[in-house]
Amino acid sequence: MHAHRHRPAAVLTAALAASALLAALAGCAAPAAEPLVPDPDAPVAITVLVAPVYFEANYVAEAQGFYAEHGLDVTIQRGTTADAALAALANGSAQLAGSSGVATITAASRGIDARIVGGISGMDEDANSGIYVGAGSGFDSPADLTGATIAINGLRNTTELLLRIAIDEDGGDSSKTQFVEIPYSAMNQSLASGQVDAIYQVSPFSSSVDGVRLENPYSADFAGAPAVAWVATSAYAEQNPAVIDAYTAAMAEAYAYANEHPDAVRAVLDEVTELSAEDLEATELIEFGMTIEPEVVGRLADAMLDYGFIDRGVELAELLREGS
Amino acid sequence: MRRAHPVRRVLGELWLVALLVAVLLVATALAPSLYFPPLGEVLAAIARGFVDGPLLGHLAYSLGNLLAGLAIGAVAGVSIGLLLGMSELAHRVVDPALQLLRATPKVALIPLLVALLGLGAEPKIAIVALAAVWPILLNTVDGVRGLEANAVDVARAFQIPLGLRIRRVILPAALPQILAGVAIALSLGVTVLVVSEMYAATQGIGFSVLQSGRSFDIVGTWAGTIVLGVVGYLLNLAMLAVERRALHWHHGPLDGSTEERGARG
Amino acid sequence: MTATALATGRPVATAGARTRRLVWGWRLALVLLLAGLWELSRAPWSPAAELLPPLADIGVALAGLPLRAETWAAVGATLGAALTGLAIAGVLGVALGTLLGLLPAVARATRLLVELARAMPVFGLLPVCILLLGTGFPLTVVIVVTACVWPFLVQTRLGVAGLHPQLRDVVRAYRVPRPLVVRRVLLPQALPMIGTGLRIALAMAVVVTIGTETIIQSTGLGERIAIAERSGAMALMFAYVLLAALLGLACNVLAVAAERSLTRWRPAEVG
Repeated sequence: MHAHRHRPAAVLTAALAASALLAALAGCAAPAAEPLVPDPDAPVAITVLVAPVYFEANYVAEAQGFYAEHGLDVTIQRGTTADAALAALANGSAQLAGSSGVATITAASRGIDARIVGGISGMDEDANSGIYVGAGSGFDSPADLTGATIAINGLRNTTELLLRIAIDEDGGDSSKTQFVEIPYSAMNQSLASGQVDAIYQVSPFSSSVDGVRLENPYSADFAGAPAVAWVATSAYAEQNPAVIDAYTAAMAEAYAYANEHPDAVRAVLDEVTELSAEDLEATELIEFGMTIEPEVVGRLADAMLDYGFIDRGVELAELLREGS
Repeated sequence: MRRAHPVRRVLGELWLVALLVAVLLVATALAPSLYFPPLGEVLAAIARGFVDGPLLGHLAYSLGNLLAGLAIGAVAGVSIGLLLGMSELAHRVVDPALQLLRATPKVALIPLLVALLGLGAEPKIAIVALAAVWPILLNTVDGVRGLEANAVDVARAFQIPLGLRIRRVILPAALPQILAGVAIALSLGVTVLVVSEMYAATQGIGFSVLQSGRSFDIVGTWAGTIVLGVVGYLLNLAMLAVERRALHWHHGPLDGSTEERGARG
Repeated sequence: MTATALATGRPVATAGARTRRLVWGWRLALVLLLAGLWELSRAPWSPAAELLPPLADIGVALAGLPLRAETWAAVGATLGAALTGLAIAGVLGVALGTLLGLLPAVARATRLLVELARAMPVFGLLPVCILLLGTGFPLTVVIVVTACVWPFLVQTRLGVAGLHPQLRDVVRAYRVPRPLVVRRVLLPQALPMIGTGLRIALAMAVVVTIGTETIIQSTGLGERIAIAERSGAMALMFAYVLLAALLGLACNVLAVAAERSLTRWRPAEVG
């Protein structure tokens, strides 16, 4: 009786286990279809996952009808980190995503399909963002930050890489520098209470930093590194080149418009954040531009390999969509 | 019902896990996908992480913070719980506040604690204590109130001094409930600890898993996740052993309250 | 906790009104004390001075929440994700729990797996799940299901497995078909236990949803908390945290009521 009852149960359990496994492995499906062609009369619906910064122009493009003019029906989704953005591309819940150049290179080095199709040039320091240290702390140059603890808003990302380079080029040793991830909103407090020695802060929060700003320490080699890279999977980009072109064209128009209409950008910020009126006013807006400089991206990838951000080099051809 | 032979019993519990691991080993090796890397590689990464990698350090840091937070939460929970359990009035007065505090999403307080306590272990210990204190406190109250009628009245009638009464009568009798509360606190504590290690952290197993994921180190992410699960399981086992040891003189099953141990909220 | 927590309405006799006044008096004193402590910790010498907003600001922000469209959208999104996850977890947990309760061999074989999976700190799954799913609605639901399926499963298994020996004999003697036994005997018998599972799971669903939203910033109350915090709007952040706590509290009350109604329905005792 006992042995007799064991069998079907065992078979059933094994079957359940096997089907669970199959279900897990069958996670990815590959859609194949005709290339999509944007048409103002029959717009192509796409979802764009924007980066947590520099997303304002996407809302401007929507409000000003730039997407519609280029035959796109864009759903904007707020994004968080690059890993989530690239996952959304891979599982098809978004077609385009804003990521950072460094994160995209990291992903590509791990074999994840991510092509940069355009980007916001930036990282140009303005007077309201950069490295702040406590007044009288004795940190006067990047080399002084050897052995210091620096708060940045994302580990193993662009800021960390460029700061490490700056410290080393200045004669310091960045391997002794500790980086810690803290949101911009909490950095000032960390600096004031001495939890960290330096912070990389941006406006509007930089206006209330209790400290002094180090002059732009970055190497000129990386001027024009993409602040946000627009990324698609190579499968989608190759299948639907017209959609990508329409999107980059619409965004270029949106960036131009945003640069001329700072109030429109502030209105977006007011809508999607909880910044106070004063903070909103104090927010320094960047000069948006839709350009990618392949040489800079290449230099970034090389530096990432040098600094152990990635284990293997990444060729530009693996990273950039042809013609972008 | 005759009890199965111990070896048979262990086999009966292990065969499916072994089969599953074997199937996964083979399947992921034969058909590796980016997001489901070969299990062999993941296990190798775990081994490497323990032998010469940072995994052991991360784990030690996390466990240290967990235990410190649990200890603080237990001491606070049991002592406040005793007080509230013995005073009907005090209990009625603070109960609404307790319920509200218990329902507060602790995870949302992590940034505040970090700003207050710094980037070290302190905010992590604090958030574990803050999450752990409520189940222990509420279970202590229940345990103390549940036995008020009989043993305590006798003890009171014989004018046994309060300190002795607490130590010899109330605490032992409430122990099953208290330990059940600690078990819930443990699972809650692990959960909030992991989250605290994802905010302004520099080490810890949660930090390690998050950074692996962020840098698309998929093998490392799976490795850390598996370690987390196994550690959680071993902690539960340890808790069960503690309960069994502490209550070995107790007759019958461990009170109805063990059903609650799955609760994380 | 189950029985004793419900028995708070112990006899207070005729002194009831006086006691109630006393309790409310002390409660008022407690509130004043806590408010005083809060304001004291905002004093310039306190390390928390910069962090804690005045209580009045939090009150104003809290009162203003219902006027904000995003509040309702966030509450809706949070409840939507929590209830979707809860429903899936309930169906899955009751089905699997029934299976495990009916087939002891399967229960034995899967015990280790279940224990391992239960012990997983849910938020620890986030990095892997983000890589697999991104950070949208599906991720939140998956996390909620992972957290909430266990109370259902464990309680159902306990309820189903504990079939009264006399009932078992009857069922066997009359060769009642299995499906009928499950539907008419086992599940009804397990209902009170499932009710307890529901109470635990419902409370967990809301907490886990808000936690997930805070961490990954997907639409919901947790995201509002994170946005307010990251915009430096501390009073608003505390207001949202309070709202989240009230929502959790409401769900707890609801869950206890749900459990009670399921528990009240007991099949006739045998023997």
